[in-house]
Amino acid sequence: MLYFLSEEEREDNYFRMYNQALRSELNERQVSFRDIPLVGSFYDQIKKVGSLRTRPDDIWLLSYAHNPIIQWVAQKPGRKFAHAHGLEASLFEPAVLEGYDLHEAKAFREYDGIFVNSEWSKNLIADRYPQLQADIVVSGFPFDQEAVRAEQLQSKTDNLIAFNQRFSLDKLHILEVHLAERLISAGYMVMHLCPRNLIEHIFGDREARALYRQGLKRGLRFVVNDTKAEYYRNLSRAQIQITTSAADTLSIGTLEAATLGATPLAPDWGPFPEYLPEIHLYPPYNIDKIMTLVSDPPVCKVDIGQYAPEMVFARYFEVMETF
Amino acid sequence: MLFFMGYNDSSGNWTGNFTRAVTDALNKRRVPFHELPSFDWLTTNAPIRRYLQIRSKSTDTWFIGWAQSPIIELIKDKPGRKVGLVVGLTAMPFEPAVLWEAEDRLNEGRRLALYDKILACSHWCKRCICEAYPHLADRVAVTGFPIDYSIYERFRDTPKDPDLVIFNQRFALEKLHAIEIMVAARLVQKGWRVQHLSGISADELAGMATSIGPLLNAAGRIGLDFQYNCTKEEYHSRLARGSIVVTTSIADMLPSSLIEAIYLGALPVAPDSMCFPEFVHTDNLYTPYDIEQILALVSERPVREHPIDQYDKDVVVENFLQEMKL
Repeated sequence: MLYFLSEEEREDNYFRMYNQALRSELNERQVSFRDIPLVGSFYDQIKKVGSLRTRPDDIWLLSYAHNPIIQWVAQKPGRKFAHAHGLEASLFEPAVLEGYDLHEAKAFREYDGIFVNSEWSKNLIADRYPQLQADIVVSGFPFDQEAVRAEQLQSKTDNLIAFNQRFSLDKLHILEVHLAERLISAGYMVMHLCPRNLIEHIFGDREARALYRQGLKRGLRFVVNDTKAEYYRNLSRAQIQITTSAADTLSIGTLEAATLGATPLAPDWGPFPEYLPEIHLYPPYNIDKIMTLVSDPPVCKVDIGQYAPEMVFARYFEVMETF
Repeated sequence: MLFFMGYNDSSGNWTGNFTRAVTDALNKRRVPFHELPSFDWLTTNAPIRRYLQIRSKSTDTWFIGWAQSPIIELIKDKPGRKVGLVVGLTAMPFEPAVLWEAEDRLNEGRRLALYDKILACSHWCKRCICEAYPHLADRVAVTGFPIDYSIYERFRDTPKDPDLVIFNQRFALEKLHAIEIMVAARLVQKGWRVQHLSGISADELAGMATSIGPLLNAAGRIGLDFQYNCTKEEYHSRLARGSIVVTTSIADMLPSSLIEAIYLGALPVAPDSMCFPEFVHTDNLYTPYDIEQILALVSERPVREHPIDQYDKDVVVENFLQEMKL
């Protein structure tokens, strides 16, 4: 039996795509599994886990490796696997910059195997926790291109550039505002796509709030999306998508942009060289180079087939069966 | 009579040095002046009544070291010419006052318009003022910013550590602290020792933004040595040991931190933008944000002349007096 501890799905996170892809794959493979959504209070979640009677040949699979519930799962029979998305091992992990301690090393120790988004993630973990190196498996993120493409609009808006990263320090929001000003001066329209709760988040951080106001003042349009479908439609209008990220283990936003026909531009750093052609990359954080790329955008196709759910989960099963 | 208002002294920055440099230079020239108690961003309970009680004549001059000070609204109708020095501008998106959300409180446009003459600390500063407030352009003159180099004289013989790279910019968003950490990580990997010198303690910095504490932890992880200096003397003696000083600033009108480092014999590495080309040789400038170029410049160590004599307090105060017609 496989026990799938699935993270809460919200419009502003990627767990819906992850959870749904995994459920489909498990059904496809006719794997006997029990879906345990981690909702409600943490106490309720612990009780739910505590009530499960498992055997040593069972598998626990958590959609979020950092979830502290692993400390309770660890006491149960069965092998433990999980997917690690962001990483405290990164210098600029957003949760850490916001003051949270993810207790990553402690959590990761409890797993038999941890799936990660990229070679970059694996290297970060290997550098920070060399003793865990053998348990790390690069699987990629199960990215459902069809679900994204279903919302694609037929036409693009001329000269429209999108930022769809989080508006926060880990994405270097200060550079985004500076770059947006340059782009707007050069005649481009620039929008920042975000879920509604991001605006609340921005208003809770003094620096982000000040930069948000400066962005607005300089013509950066913040487009708030209530649903993922609305977000995909808006993103599909963009001709170019740019990220100024300083912390990413893959960048779902960049995969979404590439799927929706926008030309992604990203720093020549981190996970980006693993799936973006060199011509889409700029030396971090060279704004002049970004401006040059925007004025003459690369036309080559971005192939993100390696993140197709069936490819990602094939790696999962290969590893889980080996164990 | 010249009514002069400087800044509150603060161990963490240049403010006290400015006030002392100006008063020393005025005394040296025997220019009669009356020093007013400071009214800057560090002021609490400003002596409003005292300002209001001052009686001035139409031949007097009011020189306000921080042009955005609220005092200008209090003295605007008093006789005499009003001259204000601009060292930062909220019209710029990444000015610390903007990031601290003090922009609206400063009423910059309205206050600057109350001066007869606006002094800019750099040509970049003048350009920013003129772009933001074109109607004030004909009142703006570039004077520089007065630095008392004698303060650093006794540290100039300090032996340099050939492998020591220093950041002495404020550890803050507008100085791109995250990029500083990335650069430092690469430098440490290449075998350099890297220090961040600060006049503000880590605890105090951490209270300024949620992300500062974690960023300081990240700095420690990659080997960037954060050094808090309780006194200016401690700071200057550490700065004097550095061979190279790097800035990743995105907001500077004229950073005295880099100028003092140059005076102490460090090689500057600065972006080819804002005010930096005014006093850093072109061979020591990098394309803004280009980390590879920063690393290349640190390796190359270009030894060049940097025209920082223009900021000697005597030169700048002479400029002030000329612009004030004194």
